Amino acid sequence: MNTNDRDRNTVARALGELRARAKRASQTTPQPDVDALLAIARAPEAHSDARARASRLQPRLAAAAALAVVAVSALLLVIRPSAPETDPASESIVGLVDSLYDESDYLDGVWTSVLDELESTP
Amino acid sequence: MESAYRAGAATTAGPETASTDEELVGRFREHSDREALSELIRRYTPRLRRLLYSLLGPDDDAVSDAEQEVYVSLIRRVGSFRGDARFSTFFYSLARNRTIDFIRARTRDRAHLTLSENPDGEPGRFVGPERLVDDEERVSLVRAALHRLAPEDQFLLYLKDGEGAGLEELVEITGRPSGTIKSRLARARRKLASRLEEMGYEHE
Repeated sequence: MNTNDRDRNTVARALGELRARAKRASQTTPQPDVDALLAIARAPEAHSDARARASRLQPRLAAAAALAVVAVSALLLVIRPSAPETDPASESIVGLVDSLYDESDYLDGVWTSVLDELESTP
Repeated sequence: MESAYRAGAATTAGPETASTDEELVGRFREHSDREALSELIRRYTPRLRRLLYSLLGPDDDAVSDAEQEVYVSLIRRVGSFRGDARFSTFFYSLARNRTIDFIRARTRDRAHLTLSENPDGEPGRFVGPERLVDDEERVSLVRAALHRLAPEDQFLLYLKDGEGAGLEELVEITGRPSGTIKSRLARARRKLASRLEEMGYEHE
């Protein structure tokens, strides 16, 4: 069995266990109250805690993502012309972003932007 | 925030297997049919809760808050569902956005905790094989390893490898190109497997 297959089996088994545990936990939680949901939905959206949290986070994400996109774009311009088909440059960038991501989950937006950049680069 | 959860509360509509999801959405959107909404929620709650408990658990409050946000979001945005995609895709798009918001909020909150204050699921905490004495500990370890991935990677990997979602479905839910999804999945799978191994996970 190669590494990819082994990883796939490990992850499938692990997530299967997690899913089974989640299923048991979810069955003990009361069902949502539809009338209460309707009442909350009719209230002003500004009271949403999650939305407020997201909006506080947005400026930091946007700044980090913009910085990373500029840096990666510059890197691509320098490296791409001599890159062979196997594209080690992409792997280097993936490694770079991996190490950055380990430093902070806030860099998720950065990673997404980098992948999109790689995807759109001919 | 007001809560839509209370002990003993339950949807009152019985199973309504004759109507499709899309028909129920139409009835709720056009006639404010409460029973249609109730049936939709009854159908989608089990799968939504599996997702939320896997990505936000074991904190019941976080799961309940996120579930409420998803349903409130559904009620507010159901007018934008035009039936050109399956309702399940529309629903998971809403669930994705809300879930990722909550994962990010949790990550930010945990950054303020010390290791001793947050011993369970602390990212990077080593757990030797001898600690994995029961199912609960093994599941906690899987959850801790999964939670170290980027929020969207957690969502994608759970749906693909945990729930068996297809690539096309993930493309529709996220609006990202299939190549991006595939590379994210491969990378996330490799990372998760590696972390599980480091932390002593062994499937029994």
